[in-house]
Amino acid sequence: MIGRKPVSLRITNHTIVIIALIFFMFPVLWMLLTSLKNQIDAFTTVPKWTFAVTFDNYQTVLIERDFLKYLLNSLYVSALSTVLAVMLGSGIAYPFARYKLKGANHVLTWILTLRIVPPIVSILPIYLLFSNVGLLDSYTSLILMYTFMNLPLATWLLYGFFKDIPGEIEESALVDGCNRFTAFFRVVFPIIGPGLVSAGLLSFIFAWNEFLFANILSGPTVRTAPVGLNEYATPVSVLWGQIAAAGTMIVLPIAIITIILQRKMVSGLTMGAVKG
Amino acid sequence: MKNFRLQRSGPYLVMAPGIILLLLFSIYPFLFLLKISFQEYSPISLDKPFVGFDNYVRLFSEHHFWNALKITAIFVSSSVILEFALGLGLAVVLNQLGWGQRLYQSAMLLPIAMAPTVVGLMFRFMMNEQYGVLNYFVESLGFSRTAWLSDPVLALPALIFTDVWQWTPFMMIILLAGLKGIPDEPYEAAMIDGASAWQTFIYVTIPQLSRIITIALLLRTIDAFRIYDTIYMMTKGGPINTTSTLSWMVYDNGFKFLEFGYGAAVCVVLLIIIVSLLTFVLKKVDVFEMGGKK
Repeated sequence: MIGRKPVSLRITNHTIVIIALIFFMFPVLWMLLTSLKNQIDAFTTVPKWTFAVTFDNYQTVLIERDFLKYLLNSLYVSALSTVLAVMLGSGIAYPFARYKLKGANHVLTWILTLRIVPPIVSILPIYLLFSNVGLLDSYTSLILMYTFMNLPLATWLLYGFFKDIPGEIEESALVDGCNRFTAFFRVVFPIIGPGLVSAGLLSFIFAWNEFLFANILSGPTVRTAPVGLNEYATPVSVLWGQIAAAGTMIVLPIAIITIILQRKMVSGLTMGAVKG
Repeated sequence: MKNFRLQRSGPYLVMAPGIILLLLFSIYPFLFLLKISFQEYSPISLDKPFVGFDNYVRLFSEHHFWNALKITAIFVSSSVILEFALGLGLAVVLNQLGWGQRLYQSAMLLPIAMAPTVVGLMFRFMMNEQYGVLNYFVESLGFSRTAWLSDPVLALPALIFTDVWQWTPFMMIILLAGLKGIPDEPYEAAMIDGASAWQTFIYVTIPQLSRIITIALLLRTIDAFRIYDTIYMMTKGGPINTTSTLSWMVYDNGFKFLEFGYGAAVCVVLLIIIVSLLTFVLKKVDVFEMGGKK
């Protein structure tokens, strides 16, 4: 940009950022440390910074308290609903981006307004609906709910990506003997890869972290990790070491994916805002 | 001919499953909700009589509802304003940073990606009166230990603090993307005109960002109305309803007192509030640029 910044300004900037970094990282670090402490080290008035590292909390949570099963439930439900949301979202976004369809604007706006409705509003009817058809405590109910929850965002993100692909690329594929479907899968699909990853990543994170629907709709069979985590926080005894261990295991996979796919995450988060 | 038909209906066939799912889970719950908001509806009783506007009358005459409305307003406005102010400040600072930008940004993504349930429980742990690490810091600054979450005055600010911790990075990342999108020319012009850094910020940066600022504020406001997970983990609406927002009131009435009809009435009012708020904002600004985009 315009010249170099004075040294004092650069030092101030770095100081601010480092303070912010400590503020935003501390709770995460504290959770990690607590998860590695034994019961006595975790419950002290003066925090212990050095302690004997123990993996007991992880062992207890994973093996004795079924947390492994909850994590696998979460993985199954999130992965399947993500694939569905991206597929159905492409199904809506692609025709709207490629063809001149009547009322496209209205339908897209309507889909966007669905994001505005707080989930709590649909919890009462959805609970009764699934209980009437006998789908409480089933993978199906959660997968359907999460697909629905992520579909508006996925549609809008993918719509933006599809819009950016020039129609000529597809037309030349059609000339070369592809039909609409093969043209989509052979030509368009590889180009919008990054868009699919962005939409998929956000859908997966939202589904993985979701608690409201999971808490109401899931019973002992399909309990997801965030609901399982809540079980360790009973009013009588709060086992913070185990909670921290379970919490770390919920956050860790997401943290790793986020760091690896940082650019996709940022573009997913901002595209909704920048492109409208 | 058959092929031609398929070509015409193809787009609609591809769209159908997604659209059907969206319709099923949005229209049905809404109509059902509207209906039972006029009923005395409990999932465990067979008799579900229509009671006219009774639920609404009861709602508007109940202190609990006005209290929840007030708490929702305080929660949404203070957290969104704080997140915006801090997020904008951090975005400006980060944008001026020569190196390390990407590293900082990736660290800041972590709070956004964390499950609100985990965040809620960890903050509850840190805010614990006896062994919470927050009280350790407070004490070393010379203040006395506080029971943050069981104090009627402090519980709501503690909840706002938690929300600000989790969502300031979101504001920052969106605004940073906006800052990066501003071309150099207006800055060069401002420099030639001899504008100070502050003047440049107010008269160049802010107007250039206005659309993104509006959208970021809008997105966060919509999400702030949803708060549920953190309340569930930290306060469960207490102490003495001081953190009971409208969404929490729906949950409480529905699944604690099994008064679905009454809960539905709260939902309808909540929807009306959000929709009118958005209509008001969208009338002022053409956020989606519907006119120019298509």
